[in-house]
Parts: sequence; C-alpha cells; structure tokens
Amino acid sequence: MRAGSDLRDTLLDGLDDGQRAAVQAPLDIALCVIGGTGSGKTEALARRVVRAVSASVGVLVLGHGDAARLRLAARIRELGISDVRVERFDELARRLGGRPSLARLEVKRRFERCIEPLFALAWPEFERGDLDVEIPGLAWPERFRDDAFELILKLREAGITPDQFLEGAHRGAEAFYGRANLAELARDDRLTDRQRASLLVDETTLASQRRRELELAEVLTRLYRSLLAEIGGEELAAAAHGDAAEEHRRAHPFCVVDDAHACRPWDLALLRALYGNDLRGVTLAGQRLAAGVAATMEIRLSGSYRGARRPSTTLFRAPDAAAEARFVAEEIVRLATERNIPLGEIAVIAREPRGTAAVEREFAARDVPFQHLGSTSLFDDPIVLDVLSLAGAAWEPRNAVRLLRALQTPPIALSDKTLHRLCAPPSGPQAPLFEEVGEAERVVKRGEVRDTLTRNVLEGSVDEKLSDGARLRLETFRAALPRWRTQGERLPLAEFLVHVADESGLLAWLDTLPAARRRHGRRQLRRLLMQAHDFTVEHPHATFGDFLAEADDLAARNVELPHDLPLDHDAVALLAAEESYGHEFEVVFAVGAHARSFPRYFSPPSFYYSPQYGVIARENVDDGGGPDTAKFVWYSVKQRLAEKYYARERSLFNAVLARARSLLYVTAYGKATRAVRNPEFLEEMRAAREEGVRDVTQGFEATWRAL
Amino acid sequence: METLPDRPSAGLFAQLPADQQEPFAASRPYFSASQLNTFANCPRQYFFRYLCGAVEDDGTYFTRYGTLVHRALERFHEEYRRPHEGDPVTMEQRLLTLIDDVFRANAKEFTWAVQAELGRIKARKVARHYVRWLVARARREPFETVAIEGRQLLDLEGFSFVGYIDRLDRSLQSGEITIIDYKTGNVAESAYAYREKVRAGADFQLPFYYWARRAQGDRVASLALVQLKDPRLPVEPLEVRIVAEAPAHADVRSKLGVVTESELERSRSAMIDLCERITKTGITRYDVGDDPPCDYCVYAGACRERPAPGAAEFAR
Repeated sequence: MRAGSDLRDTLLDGLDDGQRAAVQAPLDIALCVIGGTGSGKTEALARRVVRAVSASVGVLVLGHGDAARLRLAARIRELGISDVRVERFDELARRLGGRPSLARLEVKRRFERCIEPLFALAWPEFERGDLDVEIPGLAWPERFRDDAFELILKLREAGITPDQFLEGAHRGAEAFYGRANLAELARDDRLTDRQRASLLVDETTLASQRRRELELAEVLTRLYRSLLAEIGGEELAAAAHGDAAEEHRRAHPFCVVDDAHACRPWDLALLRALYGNDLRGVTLAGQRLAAGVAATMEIRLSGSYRGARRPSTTLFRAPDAAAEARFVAEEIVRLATERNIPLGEIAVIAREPRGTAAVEREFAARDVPFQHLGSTSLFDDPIVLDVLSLAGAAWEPRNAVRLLRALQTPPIALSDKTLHRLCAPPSGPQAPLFEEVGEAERVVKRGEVRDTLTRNVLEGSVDEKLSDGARLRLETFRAALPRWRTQGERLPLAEFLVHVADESGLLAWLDTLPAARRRHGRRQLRRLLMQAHDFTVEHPHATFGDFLAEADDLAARNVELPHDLPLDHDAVALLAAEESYGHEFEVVFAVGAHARSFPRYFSPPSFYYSPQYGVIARENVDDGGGPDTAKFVWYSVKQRLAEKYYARERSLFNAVLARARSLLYVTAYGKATRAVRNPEFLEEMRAAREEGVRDVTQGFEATWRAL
Repeated sequence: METLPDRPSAGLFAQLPADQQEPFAASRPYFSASQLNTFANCPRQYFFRYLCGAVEDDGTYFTRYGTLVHRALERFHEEYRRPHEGDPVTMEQRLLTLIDDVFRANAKEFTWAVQAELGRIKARKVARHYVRWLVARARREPFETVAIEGRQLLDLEGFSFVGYIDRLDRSLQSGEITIIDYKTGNVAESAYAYREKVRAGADFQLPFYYWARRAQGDRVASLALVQLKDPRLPVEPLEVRIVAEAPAHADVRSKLGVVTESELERSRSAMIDLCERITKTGITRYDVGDDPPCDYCVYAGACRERPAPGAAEFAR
C-alpha cells in the first residue's frame, strides 16, 4: 500500500467535482452515487475504497456482473491496494452463513412446492366451489408460477405483508372499477384494435373481471403466506443468524456496491441484515437508485469520464444470423491482422449470452480464440454434456438419452448404423406394427423399447451384428462402466469427472481441436469442475446422481451461472449487455441490434400490483372483450409500461455502445420491422446518417445477390 | 479444486479400430406423413425417433389437449354424420358433454389437474365456435361424413404408408370429398403459405391424404385444416382446393387457396425418393436440420450436433 501522504495527494487527481464529492463523502453514511455509462462511477468507487483502506477501515466490496467485478478489482489493484476482493452477493451469503445459503434458486424451488396444491386443484376452496378455477393467467401454469414468484419477491422487498397486499387489492379494485373512463381511453388512436376491444367491455364482463381479480389476489396472498411459512425468513439466516451479522459489521464497517441498480431483492435484504435498514456505511453506485433505498446522501455524476471522443462507427445489416456472424468474425480477423488490435481488446456484446452463439461458431471455424465473460448457462454446453453423459452412463445406464449421447462422444464415435442396431431388439419376432393395443399393454411395450438400448449395451446382445470397430469399442465401454460407477461412489465429484474425461479420451480429443475450440472447451470443463466442487460443499452427502439431477434442472431452467475464471488477454470477449458494465474495449461489436433481439419484445407478466390500483390481472378469461382485461390495458397505457420498458432497453443499448474506445460496430440481421411498437436500434442509426458513421450494408447486399 | 491434466491420457478407445461410418438401409415396414415431415424438418430427429426409438415420448400439454379434442370430435361426428339435419342447440350440448367426458376421464394424463380442467373449459369454448361453423357450412352445402379417424393405407411403389384422416366429408350435391384435419396447434398463416410448404417438400400430409383417397377411388376436391386453438376466435379453416392449374396471381394472405395436381405429383415423388433413401440406398449420417425443432424434442440431450439454443425473443 502507498504511503498516506502520497495517497492523499493523488486520490482526487483528475476527478471531476462529482467524483471528488463521492470519494470524500463520509464513509459511515448511506451514499448513492448515480451516473450513466462513462460517468466515472467505477473510478470514484475505486478511490473511495482506497481512501477507506488507507484509513484502516475494513472494507467489503460487492458487485454483480463478473466483468464489472473484475474491472473494479483491477482498478483498485492499480491504485495500490492488493488485498481487496470484489465479491458476489451469493459468495458473501455463503461465507457469512458458514453453511449453505438459501439462494434464490432454492427459494424458487420451495415456492414451486408451495404452488403444487394449487396446480393439483387440491385446495378445499375448489372442492367447495368457493374458488373459480379460471384464475387469470393460470392457463399457463409455469408462467403463472414464475410471475407469482417474482411478484411475491417484490412485495417482500417492499415490506408489503400478505395482509397489506390483500387489503391493497381490495382498495385498488374499489379505485378502478366504475371510476376509470374506459370509453374515453378507447378513443385514443394510438391504441391497437386488440387493446380497444379489451377496453370496450360491457358491465357484466367488467364485473366478472373484478371478481376474478379479487380471487387472483386471494390466491396470490395464500401463495405468499405459504412461501413465508416454508422459508421462515431463512434466506436471510446466513447473514442475520446468531452473531454473524454483528461480527461482519465490526470487521467491515464500510461497504461498497457496484452496479447497485442490478441488486435483487435478496441482495438488498442481505445488506439490510448486515448494515441495518438505513444501510449505514454502505455506498451504492449505479445507473439509478436501487428500488426501495433511501440514501443519506445522493451524488449524481454527470461528467463524461471517458471524454467526448466518439468511436468510429460502422453499421451493418445482414440477411440472416449466419451472415451477420460471418461479417463480425471476418472483421475481427481483419482488425487483428491488418491493424494489430489485440484480440483481448475486442468484444462482441449481445442482449443476452445466447445472442453470441452464431458468432462463436464462426470463431471456432476460423480458430479465433474467444471467451465468455460473465454468467452463461453451462449445462447445455456440448463438451459439458459429453462428460456428464459418459459419467452418467455409468451411474444411470437406463437413461437412454444420456447413453445415446455417450455412444456418440468423439472417443467412442459409434456410427448411426451401429446406434440403429443397438436400439433394435436382439432377436425374436418383431412386434406387430399396427396392433390395437390397450393402454396397459402399450405401457409395457414402450418400456421394452426404452430398455432395449441399455440391455444391448450392457449385455452385448447384438454384439455379433456389429462391425469389429464398433464391437471392440462397445466392449471397452462396457468394461469401463462398472469401474466408473465404483469411482463415482468413492471419489469426490470433481475428481470423478476429471477421471472419466481423461480415461475416456475426451480430454485427449479436446486437445486435438484447433486452439480456439480447445481453449473454450477446457474453460467450460473448468467451470464444470467448479460447479461440482461448489455442489459438494453445499451438499456434502450428495451422490453423483444428485449432481446429474441438479445439472438437468439447471439446464431446463436455463440458469446462467457465474464464474471466476481469469480473463484471457488474447481472446475475444463474448458477453451479454448487462455484463458489460464497467468494461471498456478498443473495439466493440454490438450484435443483434434489431427488434426481438435487442431490444427483446416487451412481454408483460401475468399480473402487476400497484399499491394504488391493486392487482392488475392481464388475461381476460371471460368471453366478452379482448384477450386482456380492461384494467390491464388501462394500466398499461396510463403507466406507459411498454414505453418505459423500451426506454430501459435503449439505455442499456447505449451503455453497450459506450464500451467502445476506438471502433464501434453495430450489426443486425433480417428484415427490419416497421418499429411501430418496438424500436429498431440499428435502423435508427442508419437513418440518422451521422457524420463519421459508415453504413456498409449496401456493399454487402451486392455480394449476396451475386452469390 | 480439482484441475484438468495438461497432458491427458490417450484414452481407452484410442488404439481401437474406428467404427466406420457407412450407409445403412433401415428396414421400415411402413411410413407416415408425419414421419416424413419429421425427416424434412430434421433428419436427425427422424433417426432418433423412428429408427432408434430409444425413449418414450410422453408429449406435451398441447399434444394431450389435441388428442382429447380429437377424441371428443370423433365421437361427436359418429353421432352427427349429416350435420345439416341436426339441431344446433342439441349438437352443441352434445359436443360439450363429450368434451367434459373425455377430459375428466383422462385428467391424469396431464402434468397438473389444473391443465386438464382449464383445457376442458377451453375446449368447451372452442366447441361452441366449432358447432356454429359446422352448422353454417353444412347449411351452405349439405354433406355427409363418410369416415372418421379413418385409417388410410397407401402403397407408393412398394412403400407402405399408413395414416389417419380426422374426417372425410362427401358433398351431397357434388359428391366431392373434402378432407378435414383438426389442428389444435399452429398452422400456416395462409393457404398460400401452406402450399409453399407442400411445394418445398416440408409437408407431406395433404399429399398423403390426397393419394390415399385417390387410391380408394375418391374425387378429392379440397383439404380443410380446421384450427381449434383459440377459444376467442370463430373457426375459420385454412382450405386448399386441388386444381389442375393455379391462377396466375395468388392472394398470399387468404385462408382459401389452391394446390395443383402437379405439385401433389411432385410431392408424391419426393415421398418415394425419401423412402428409397432410407430403406434402399441407405444414409450414412442423419444430419441435423437447418432449423430443427429442438425445444420439444426428447432427444435434444442425445444430439451432439444440435445448434446452441437461441436467445429469447421476449423479455421475461
């Protein structure tokens, strides 16, 4: 650490007034530092941390996006402080609890148990006929469940109890029905026919919508109470239980939260559990004030820390996703070779992690090294699935999907011809094809089909019909399975996975791939090992089968998992828009800048809640009117929900563009919409024809036509 | 933390001879239009589903809902073969009762009871629209239902095809046959779009029905795809008439359209070609389709070549 005097001299150097105020503000208050992209929040935060450390105040630094956390940590290190980590919230919860924290996913799983009796229609109200099953939104149970969960989280975070929620629902219904002038609103020519039909409903339909709305409120209240009973405040236990919170506060009286606008209800609840409801000693920095936070002091940064120079911008619209990805990859190769721009200084940013998949394929084809920054789903990755299928075949050989995959993995590489034979019954007459079987008989027959592959693989029933290569491979695989099974019972999870990946030859195969794919594959496997390790820590008595079930569940939910792998400086970064905060690159490609991709289409939830207007159910289940309830349309128009959503998306898009220091590419694909309800960001930029902005779409169109 | 070895072993299989990839002809005693549609969308899915058949596919809510609606309509039309002679109120009541019966008897097939119950309510709403449409159509041109869920067998140059037609109506005026197919899922946006699918070899259903009935000596005039999905909308079938020549200009948005006999002939040839490739010429590797329907494919986890899942188009 630097000497105190040097530090004081340099701490405020080069900062604007807002940043200086942020650095100098008292440490023991609740401070909010608000600023847009490039306003210098990260710099101010880093120096504020340095100030606290130099004053021997214990510091806790928290962040969200992995990229942003790494960047903040790097900046703090550059300022001479090497022993401060930027933690994730879930890491903190786990560390404080000294036992598995009840993460959001776990709470959601519990909520899913709470809602099962509703889905089973097992509530006595249904039996008694007190509750109409046509509850708005319930026709799509999974969506209803997700939306109910999100709403309940928000209610809890806002400190609204179930009773208060129900009371508000009744009050809100009173405020709306009979008072809102729907006919007048319906004359608004900005409305769609669908919206207008929803507004123009007769009194009977409106009365029915009111009744259903209040029934929905009763249902949600009951679910809210069930969840509270289920978790019993446990999700905060890691921080609040015993002396842990107090001990933490003594050790780290000063806390800094970067990208605080991304805080989830849990995160704020955890902070409150640690620092009290007034968040004394907490500095929250973000693009906007975190919901429900009342700061002692608020500092708004308005300066442009990065300076006014705009990056040179290129616009491009491709006919399809593959052409867009090809353009991006070719440009990156050109920039790297002709202009010697290091790959680590190039980023491809999409609205969400999966938006870079096409580019990733092009990189792999051209052997361009790449890396995912930030959270991505892991359990749908091909190499991860390969390892799990090989290990899983040993553990659950009856799982035909996994077994089929294992047999196709590169080390085994059975042909389609062999797979076909392995799935056929070994001998005896073929089952009749058009038999009129009863249900019971049909189940048995299907069961037989399902077991055939497993039986043929494990028992070698059709080995004699296979080629020499196939038979030898199958025999080897068959011999390995019991051994792997034993190792799966004996070894720690991660070690077992490494063993199978190595002994099967999957790792050796991976190393034969071109460098970019090899490196990516190894990174993904390292992430898998981290997940296995964390799972073992959280579930010390779990089996490999439990881990497989967890992997399947996470894949089905498309859970994006964070990771702490270091950044490679010679690989192009692929990241999602929300992970890009705090990052800068020489060159940024903002891809998929078209409606349905960035921004994604606005899709309202099944219901909203407003303290003033109560529950606003979306689905109109009555015959009269349009597909949405009158109140929902009224509320959407009044609150300008779609406009606000697209404004947030626009802000995020601008934040992505601001990641570029020198060169910015904005690309999209497909035919642009008319942008009546949803903006087309690329088309807006093309239409603006700003100086210094190059639109290369036309040149490529000629090439495609020639092709 | 366990780490990956820098120098991995060659592995158990490294020294073994390869399993040579070579074409193989699969024995298929029969084909169906939906099988070939699957092949057209994704040959790999066809391979897994029909040539491997290693997994039991329980279907989705939508397939269960569709099956039960079909079942209720099957029983309904057994009773009302000449809809123009029936009393609309009684007919509607009867169909509602049948829907109640089949959904309640099969509620356990759904993941959740609420799906069965709300499916039943939805089907009742759809049924009202359906009867209204049926009665109007029957009054416009009286017809007789000559087959319901009729099993169709067709031999195409030695390849056996089997399928089930939801309903066959014969006009009492012209004697022409209309093939009725109930759709509880999505259908093409217009008759023109459907025709394009037939022309592109992406949909073999109509060609199969057409050739199956032709083989029986029927004069097939049209195919009507009756969408029974949205309880709010009146039933408006997508209907294609079979004609010798298509008009020069087609309304690309209309629900009414045509398909030509020569297009059906080409589709027939394509069906035979596919069957020959699968069962005679042989295929070395069944590739993944250009835009494969992985979301509802039970073999998605077994498919090493499936494209990475796409990004969500709607914000949630």
